Amino acid sequence: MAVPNTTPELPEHYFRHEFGRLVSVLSRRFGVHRVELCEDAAQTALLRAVQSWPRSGTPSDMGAWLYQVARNQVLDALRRDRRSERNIQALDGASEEAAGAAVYLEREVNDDQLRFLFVCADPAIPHESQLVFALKTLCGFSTTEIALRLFNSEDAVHKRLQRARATLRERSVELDTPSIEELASRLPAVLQMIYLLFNEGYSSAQPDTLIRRELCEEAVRLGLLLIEHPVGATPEAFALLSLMYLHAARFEARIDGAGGLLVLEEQDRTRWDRELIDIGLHYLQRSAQGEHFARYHVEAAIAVEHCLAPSYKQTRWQEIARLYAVLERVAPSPLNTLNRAIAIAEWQGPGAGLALLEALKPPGWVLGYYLWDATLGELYRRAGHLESAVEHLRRALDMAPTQAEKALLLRRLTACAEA
Amino acid sequence: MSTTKFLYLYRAPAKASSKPPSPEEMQAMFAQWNAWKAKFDLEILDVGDGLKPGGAVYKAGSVTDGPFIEAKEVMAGYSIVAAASLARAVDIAKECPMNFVPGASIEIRELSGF
Repeated sequence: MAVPNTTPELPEHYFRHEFGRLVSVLSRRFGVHRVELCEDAAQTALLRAVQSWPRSGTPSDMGAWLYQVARNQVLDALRRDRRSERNIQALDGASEEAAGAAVYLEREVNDDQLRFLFVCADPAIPHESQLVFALKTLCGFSTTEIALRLFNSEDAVHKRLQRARATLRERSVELDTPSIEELASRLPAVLQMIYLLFNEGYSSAQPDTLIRRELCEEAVRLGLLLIEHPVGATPEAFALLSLMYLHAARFEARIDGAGGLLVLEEQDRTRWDRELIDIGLHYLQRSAQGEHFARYHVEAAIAVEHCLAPSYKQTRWQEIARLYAVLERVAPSPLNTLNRAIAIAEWQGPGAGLALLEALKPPGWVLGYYLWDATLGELYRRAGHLESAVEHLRRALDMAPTQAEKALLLRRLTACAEA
Repeated sequence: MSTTKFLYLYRAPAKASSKPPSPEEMQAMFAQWNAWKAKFDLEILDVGDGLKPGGAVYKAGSVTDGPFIEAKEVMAGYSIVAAASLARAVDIAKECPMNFVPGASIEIRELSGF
């Protein structure tokens, strides 16, 4: 039989996303306590595809092909280790399934992925481990790739993964495949995980924007998966999606031609992605149901104010300051106060912003955070207190995590010197 | 133009490099093999197969376990290429994705056509 000479190009990240689909389907089938075995099987199936597809041609249903190979991998491993009663049960179940056609329907696969997202949000798994584990299993990143993206050591990533797997191993067989409905109480944790993932991409110190974008795209992908299901299609989830799209719309405009960071005031608003803003507005509309007004609603409302303002000067700073005050109530954090001070400074002048910050007794970690000093420095500069401005900007410069941020602060220090 | 058949024998270090490839890396490998195959479409007769480790050796009535070459290397796979000359076969091999495997080598042997 003639082998097709040209292979259709695979969608971007197909292998990585397929890895997540395989782990989700396999661990529904064989139990989340066997997740490590499922991860190994998915890895083997993909490697087999690399070796065999260039020779035999790409199968018409790639997903089903990979699932068959991965499933057989798991079954072989279980057969080799029949001692455990659980393994025998799993094997029996699998032969029943084999009597019918092996199913790999898109709808079910999506449900399995969503279920696995809820599995990752197990309250017994620490938050950092949840995020790392989701990046490994659902997003298909390797330990090395995760370490690079989260600015962690590979060793730390490995430990967090092991922590998550150990927790899942201890789950009893009965709990192995709870329905999404049974896991609905974990929705806030799932939303928080997606939010964290997005922020890692959006605000992380990683200088490579492609890598950062990728994390944002994964967060949006998981968010879209969530709202496909009745359990996930809540006002909060829509607000989170809206927030992510509105931020993503401004992603490129934050970077100048030389890779430097541009603050909001310097950004070319024509470079904001109108299509993404429209999607963000659409989800914001869908989020406006019911009484509950979550932090994601407030953050999306703030993002909308920025996206719809014709210029920096014409931004409705009073409204933004009001929204930050609401945010401080639903999600108290000195960083929200910091942002409110910036809005108040734009609305009522730098003195009003400084008054708010000077009255605040921030915890130690905020004092060591470069944005705290950067903001104070900038407000002092605008208020004409150049000595204080230089002092804070220098301290911020010392602590700034990336070259791009250091360059931005140096620009401001130069402005102080010229004033 | 007449061509000659060549066998490419792929050798790789017996100890696989520390980490398995990530899905993203595997997709890149897949694209590289496809691109190589497409570029030399008329000359690559059989992109070949990988070889499982182990096996057996039969010699003068006795069977022993493989592998058959130095333990630090394993025979990892093969391809069959029809090229106008050994020089051309070497040129094709130079672009083979097997070269991306650290420590791998490609032995290029002309088939004698018995």
